[in-house]
Parts: sequence; structure tokens; C-alpha cells
Amino acid sequence: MLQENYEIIVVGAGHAGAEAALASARLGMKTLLVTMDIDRIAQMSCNPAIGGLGKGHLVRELDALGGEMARAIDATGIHFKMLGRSRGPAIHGPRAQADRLAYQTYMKKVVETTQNLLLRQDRIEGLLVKDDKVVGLRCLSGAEYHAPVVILTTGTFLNGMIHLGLKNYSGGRASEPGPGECSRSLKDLGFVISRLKTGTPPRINAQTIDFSVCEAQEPDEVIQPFSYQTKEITQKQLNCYITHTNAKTHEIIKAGLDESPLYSSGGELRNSIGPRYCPAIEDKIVRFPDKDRHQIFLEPEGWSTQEVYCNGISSSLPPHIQKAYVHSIRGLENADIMRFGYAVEYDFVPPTQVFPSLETKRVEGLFLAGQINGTTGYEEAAVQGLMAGINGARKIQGKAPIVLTRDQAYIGVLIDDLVTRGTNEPYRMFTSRAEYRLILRQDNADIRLMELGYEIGLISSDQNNSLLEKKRKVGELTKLLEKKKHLNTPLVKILRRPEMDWAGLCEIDPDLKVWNTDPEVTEQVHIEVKYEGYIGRQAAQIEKFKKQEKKLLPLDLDYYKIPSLKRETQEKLTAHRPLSVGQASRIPGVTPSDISVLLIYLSGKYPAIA
Amino acid sequence: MNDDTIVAISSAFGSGLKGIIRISGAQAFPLISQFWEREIKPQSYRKLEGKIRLETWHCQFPVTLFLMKGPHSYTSEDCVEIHTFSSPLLLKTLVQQIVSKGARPAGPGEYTRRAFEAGRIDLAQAESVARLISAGSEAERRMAIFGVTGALSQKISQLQDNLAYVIALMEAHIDFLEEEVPALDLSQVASRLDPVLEALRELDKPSKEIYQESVQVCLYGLPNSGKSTLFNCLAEEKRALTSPVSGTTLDWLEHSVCWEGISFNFIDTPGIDELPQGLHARAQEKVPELLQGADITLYLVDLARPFEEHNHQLISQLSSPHTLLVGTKSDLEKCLDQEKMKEKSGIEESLLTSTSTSEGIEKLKKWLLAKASEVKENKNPSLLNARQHHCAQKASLLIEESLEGLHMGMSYEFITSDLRVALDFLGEISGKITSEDILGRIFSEFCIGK
Repeated sequence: MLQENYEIIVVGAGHAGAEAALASARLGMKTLLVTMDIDRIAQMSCNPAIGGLGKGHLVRELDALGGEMARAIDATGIHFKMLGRSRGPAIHGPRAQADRLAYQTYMKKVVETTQNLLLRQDRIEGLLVKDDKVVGLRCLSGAEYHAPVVILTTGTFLNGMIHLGLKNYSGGRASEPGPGECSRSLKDLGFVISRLKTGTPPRINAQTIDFSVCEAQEPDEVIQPFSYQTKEITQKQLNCYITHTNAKTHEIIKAGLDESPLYSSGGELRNSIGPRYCPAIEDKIVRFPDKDRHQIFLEPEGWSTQEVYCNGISSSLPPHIQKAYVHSIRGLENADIMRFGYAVEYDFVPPTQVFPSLETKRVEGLFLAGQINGTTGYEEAAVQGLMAGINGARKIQGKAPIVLTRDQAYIGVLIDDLVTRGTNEPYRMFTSRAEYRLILRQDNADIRLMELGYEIGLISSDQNNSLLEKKRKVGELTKLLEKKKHLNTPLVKILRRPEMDWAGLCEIDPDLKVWNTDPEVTEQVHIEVKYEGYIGRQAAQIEKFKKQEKKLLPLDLDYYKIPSLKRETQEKLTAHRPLSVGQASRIPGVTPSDISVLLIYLSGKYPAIA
Repeated sequence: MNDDTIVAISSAFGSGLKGIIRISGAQAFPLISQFWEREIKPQSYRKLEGKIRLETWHCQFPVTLFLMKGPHSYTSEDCVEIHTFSSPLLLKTLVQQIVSKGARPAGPGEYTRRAFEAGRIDLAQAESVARLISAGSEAERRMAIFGVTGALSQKISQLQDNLAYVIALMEAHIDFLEEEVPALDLSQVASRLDPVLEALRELDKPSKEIYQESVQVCLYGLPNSGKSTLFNCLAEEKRALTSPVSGTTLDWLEHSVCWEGISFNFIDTPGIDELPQGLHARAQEKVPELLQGADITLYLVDLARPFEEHNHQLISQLSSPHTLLVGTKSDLEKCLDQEKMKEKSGIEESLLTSTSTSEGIEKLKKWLLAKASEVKENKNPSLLNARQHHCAQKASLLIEESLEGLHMGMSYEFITSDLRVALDFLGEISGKITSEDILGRIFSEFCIGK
């Protein structure tokens, strides 16, 4: 039997797995990346796009910490657009359509050429665990791989079931078989396993679409790259298009509901929960009968393919109904469907079972990242993969895990939400989930996180130095604007006026034009000065928040010994094992009075308080 | 759980009320059993009529027991309530007797603390109970009950609902700007925020006028219209020096009485001279302030004299929400009748009184009591303590700023950042609304998603 030893094994090479393996190997760990098909690394099995509001923020943060995704999309994007330009800077989110095949090829090459990283095609059959510690895994090939840290990023392949009309078959993506034994192995170890579902739309051939009747969406003329390292985007760009469903489409779908796994009486997905923000077209029509049309984004999948992704009409209706409703849509009357839409149901491990480091509470050395934790989206998966890779390596190095907080990064919000509140639908990032949104902007991800990335060891000293230089310049320019006056008014005050911008300020004081060689610096100063009031208020809230986060709860605290805590709360806290009073207060069902009791108990004054 | 069992009188002292003793803790049932004809097993929501043995008095008293087994009780522990007559001596004796068998006398607010810690009541309710314990009068007690039964929490959660809805509307326009979310009308937002602001200001009004202190009743009128005489009559003792000489009262006098649990503070104002001078004048400077602080003004007119023109000047000073025209000395030969007096003064409600024959005095008391509860009903449940006032004020301030920002055309993420903090402040009064709740609203309200 083949037996091999590694420091870290990553299972699955999707967006989470690729980032985890790269981070681990770059931190010097001897790393094995096991995947079922080495030609499908970092595949975009759903929408061929990266970024958006909240999601774009995640990618910028990942880049500041030394992840790969931002550079990959910069190299392979075919339609870049900064969303939210009509709003303030906190709501700007970069987004790009990717050339799907080019993206995969890029990532495969990076993985193949990274030192310490071995890529192997195999299928996992079970985890090897000894004394509640992971020691490796067993594969279908018969091989055993040993390592003290295993990172599971199984995506939708954990007991995946694909639904197409009332037919279903097992698998994680259409055309690929799902692994059998991994989910049972987790159950045997005592993990609670739950089920989620998600869906995809049909994809059609661009040759058969009448784009002339659709509304064209053009990419940005001046592109802001995702990565702080990318200087410029040079590849040729493509348009996206918008069309709409109509009354006839809705009729066809309504008539087909009894063949839907979601709505027919015997439908297998009737009771499973899908993402509310990404409903199937049949869901939209049933739930919002008053809407007479729904938007469809026609998104090209790349330069080398004719496939077009029909974003907005995801469905699990059977093929003949999909074909009928697609043909009822303007511009798609003669469209050829190349792949049918489908729904996929899969197992996940409700994420309250992992620590904020993403290590499981039950099995030491076992880390979970991506859809297995109940998230959806490449970006959500990638940042978890990055953090799991970092923390896996730190575990082996004997260092404390890196846990980002809610006031530090969207990544912190994501992981805290998952491990504290759990989720019962595929979790997606929104800017509204971040309470300190005005500070966690995509423009300052480097200022917030890059020094940490350098400390971790994934950011080069050159890059860190240029960040420090940028920070110094931001400070210098801010001071200058405070000191310098125009007609007795400090320039900061002039810049704060609603109608004033940086260019306008340069008109007033032409000396400032020398700063225009550093647009990142002037942008930063402009934003911080302009919104100082709001930003300052959030900064004050953060101080309040930090106090609660700093009140740590010992992991071995016996909640059953706190006399006046409700039984139910004692059970919840024992199961969750929160790390701080702040985290405890965010656990659903834990009330402010529970927190008071906890604080009283921790103060040691209990029960003398009246 | 607390391991000792506590006992205390939990009813207010005073006539006409029930006497209640509450026992809470693991020993509640065994303790009460010792004074009962048979053992009482722990059970829930039972009412038990019977007689309790009073050992020191060597007799039995009829009482009603209310049995509540934990955790289905106020404190989540085993609880027994003894309801009986409200004799302070009887209640004290009963408590001593229970303490002698091993219970501990409860400290102030200890039941509430146990209930709060057991999660039976929220913070707002706990604070109301604390108020209840120190409530001075029956009316104040009733006011505190508003909070206990959750009327305040209910009101606040209504406001939170409105606020969360507005935030959800805006968030839908932030996170889903690519979607076809119907455009958000500024006036639509303002029309939802304005009532919240109004309600908060209403709640934030100092409640002292009515509840913290007593109902302020000001007696006012021309010199020698009989103010002090009526004051003495209402005060039920001779406090003010009276004489037939006009202007006998140089300073104002106050006296509080408690009728049917509502306390009234009567204020006798100094008579107003047409030509004020000296000491008298200085006392009179205080009058407008007294009139302004009054909840009710009794305007006195001497029926034995013709209606003097100078009355109009005085009446124009009145500012209290309720005014009663009181014709005095109705036993003497009248120069004025009720109709004429009303017509001349322009005051709608009126009464005729005589302190000599007591004519109209009972009617006057009834009128005052009726008015007092009317004033009360006009008031919504109000905020009870400084912390809650602070939260309400902060929330209103933030909402005001948000409205301002909206009109200035600030992008929604700035507006919601303030509104969310406002929501948190309201949450400190009752319960929290999380980001997840707001997302839930967005998804149920709009067709979102590709």
C-alpha cells in the first residue's frame, strides 16, 4: 500500500482548496492537494464572475493578505466593472466576468509551479483519526496519506444529488460523480451534518442569440484591478447583455410546476432550503406574482467558447420546459441550450462546529473551508481556504491562529457569522452584514490588512514597504490639507463641502497637483477627509465593540456551574464554546440578560449583586 | 439556580389592597406545607383556598395560595404566593414565621433580580419592577405596571419595526443595486421616520408631571375669592391663614393629599393685587411659574360679588391643560349665577361650592379624580429611568440627523449607519434587531436575486 507523509493535506481543489494549498505551501509546509480531477482546478461551476458588492471586498482583502484569486481574475477577466459608483466609496465593489477556461488554466499553472505543493488526482474515502486528532486520510486508490493537518474543501460533492425535473442522480456538479464515503466518515466522527441546495441556469450558444434586441452593458473604460500588485488590465473586453422574461415565460413556468422538484407534490426539494438571494425562476414567479418581468443577464463565459450563462433564470424544471421558457424570451427565441440548468443538494457541516480559526471543535487538526461550512460563492470559499491554509500552517508552527474580527475585515464578518450564528441557507456576503461598512472599504483593504499579511508571511517585503510608503504619504497629505488654507479656510474644510472633489481642490490650490502622480494616496485622503464625520462615528462604535471582544471566555469554562444561567443557555454556550463575551452575545437565543449574568459571574462578584 | 429560599411581603402597604407574601426557592413548597393542614406537593398554576396556621397567634387565618412550580414561575424557581388581608401586622407575623423555618428575608429587588437572571423578564421590565418597589402612590404603581406587562417594550418594538423597515428599504437599494428594486421615494422614507421620531419624543417627555410626583393642582383667582379657604378644605387641615381681608396669603402654600391612591399636590397662590408692591410683589413674581407647572387649575370666582373685569387678565395667564371654574361662597347671597359666571369667564367646566356647607366639595373631589385619570390615559407608557431616557434621546438625535442627511442627498449607506445605531439604542431598551433580521425583511419584500 502506498503511504506518504505530509504536513498539510488539502482535500478538493476548488476556490477554497486552491487558496488553502497555496497558502500552506507558500508558508513552507509540505502540502498535498488531492482532487478528483486535476483538470478542473478552481472551476467556476456556476456564474463565470468574480466580485460584486461584499464579494469584491472579500477578494481585495484576500489579495492584501497574499491570496491568489485577485491576480487570477486580473489575468483572465473579460468584462470589468466597478459596481456602486452612484453610491459612496464604501459601496464600491469591483466585479469581473472571467474567461472560465483561462481562469482554470491560470490557477492550475500556479498550483503546479508552487514549491512544496504536490497535486494528486485521487478520491477520498475516509478520514484517519486517532484520539480525536486527525492523522491523515484513505483514498479510493488504496493510498494512505498522513498529515497532522487536513483541510476539507469538498464543495457540493459531499453526498451531492443533482435534480433535473423529477429525475435525480448523485454527483456534485453535472457530469461529475460525488464522493461517497467522506460524509459518512464525518458523521461517524460525531459531526452534525445538514443539507442545503442551490441551482444553476441553462447555458446557451451565443451564435443563436439575437443580441440586437438585448440591452448591451459595457465594461468600465478605466479599470481598477482587483490586486494591489496588478498595474494594468490589458486584455480585450467583452460586453454583457440584459433581456427580460415576460408574461408568456411566466405562463409556461406556472404550467410546468407539477414537474418541478421544488413544487410538485412528490418533489424531493419541496422542503430543502435554497438561497433567498438566488432563487430559481420558478420561485420568483410563485412568490412575486405581481412582477410582470424579471431581469436576465447574458454573460459570456470566455473568448474561446460560445457558451453564455443566463444569469437570472436558474431552474430545476425538466429540459422540455426549460427549452420552452427560454424560447419565450426576447432575443432567445432560437437559442440552443448547451447545458440545462439543475439544482444540486449537498451535505454541509453546520459551521458552529468549527472555531474562528476554522479548525473543528471535535477533531484537532481538521479544518473545514468553503461550501462545507454552508457558504455559497467562489469569493466566500476562497477567503476561508486562505484562512484555513494560514491557520493550518500556524498550527504546525506552534503559532496562535489568525482570527480577523468584524471591525477589521469582511473576512472577519463572514467567519464570525458562520461560527457564531451558523446558517440554514447557503451564506453569501452582503455589505449590510458588516456593521462597520463605512470603514471596511475595498479601497483601503491594503491599509487594513497588508501589514498583517506580511507578518503572516504571504506578502513580500517589497510590497509591504510600498504599503508603508503609501501610508506615510497619506499621513503627510492629510496634515498638509489641515494646515494649508485658502482664504483663511483650511483645505480639509473645503474638501468636505458636498460639491467639492480632489480635482476641484487642485483648481483652488494648484500646488496640490504634484500629488496627482499618486492617485491611490489622493483617493484615500479624499475619502477619509470627506466622510470623516461618519467614519469617526463608526470608529467610536468599534471601540465599544472591542471592549466586549476583549473580555475573553476560558474554553474550559463550565457554564453549568453558573447558577442563574438558563439551562437552555448553558447548553448553547457549552456547545458553542465562544471565545469572548462579544461572541457569546451574538449567538442566536443568547439574551442581554444572559450576558449580564455572564459578566456578573466573570467579575467574581456573583451573587452579591442586588 | 440560587440555593436559598427567599420570602417577602410583595404588596404595597395601604388600605383597600390585598396583602401578598411571596416565597421563592427550592424550599417554597416544604415551607408552606408546615403551616397547612396537609402537605402541598410542587404543582403549577394551582389556586388553593384554605386556612394558614399562625403559630404565635395560636389561630388560623383564611388565605388563598397561588402555587407555581419552577421553571414556570416569575423567578423560574418554585414559588408560592399567600394572598390575604392587607394588615401590616398580619403580614409581618407571617413572614417572621416563615423565616423561622429557614427562609431568608428577600433584599430589595431580589425577586426581580432572580426573574431577570432567569430570563423571565427583559431589561425594561426589570427596571419597571424596580420602580414598582419604590413606587409611592397607587397611580405610580399602575404606571410601573405598564412597563411590567410589557407595554413599554411593545411600544419600543413597534418603533424598532418601523425603523428596521426603513433600513431594509435602503439596504435593498445598496446591496442589490443591479436588481430591479422599485425606486425609493424620499418622502416615503421621511413619512416612516417622522412618526418614530414623534413617538420617541412623546416617550421621552419628562413623566414627572403626573407620575413621579403628584398631580399639581393650582388654586388661582382674585384676592379674597376664597382660595385659602378652599385650600384648607381640600388639604383636610388648616394650613393657610385665612381672613376676610384681601391679600392675606403673602406666600404660596403647598399640601399633598392622597385620594384613592392618587396623590394631589394643592398649591395656594398668593392673591393678585392690582398694584403689587414690596414683599407681596415678590411673592407674586412666582405665580406664572406655579401656573405653568400645574396639571389642573381651579379658577375661583366669588359668587357674592359681581364679576370683576380684572378676572380676564388673570384668566389669560392660565396655561394648564385642565381648568375648572369654581364659584365660591355659594351659601351667601349670590350676585352671580353659574351660567353668567361661565359666560363671563369663558371657562367651560364649572362647579359651585361652599366650604361652610360643604356644598360641591365631594363633586369637586370626584371631578379632580376623574381628571387625574384622564391626564394619565393621555400619556402613553413612558420611559421610566435615566438610562432609558438617554437611549431614547440618542435614538431621536440620530433619526433627526438621518432625515437631514436624506434631504442633503447623502448616499443611503451613511443614513443607515446612523439608523442602525439608533436601532441599537432602542434595542438597549427592549430587544435587539440584527442584520440577519434586516436581510430577512429585504428578501420577503423584494424579488431579489439572479
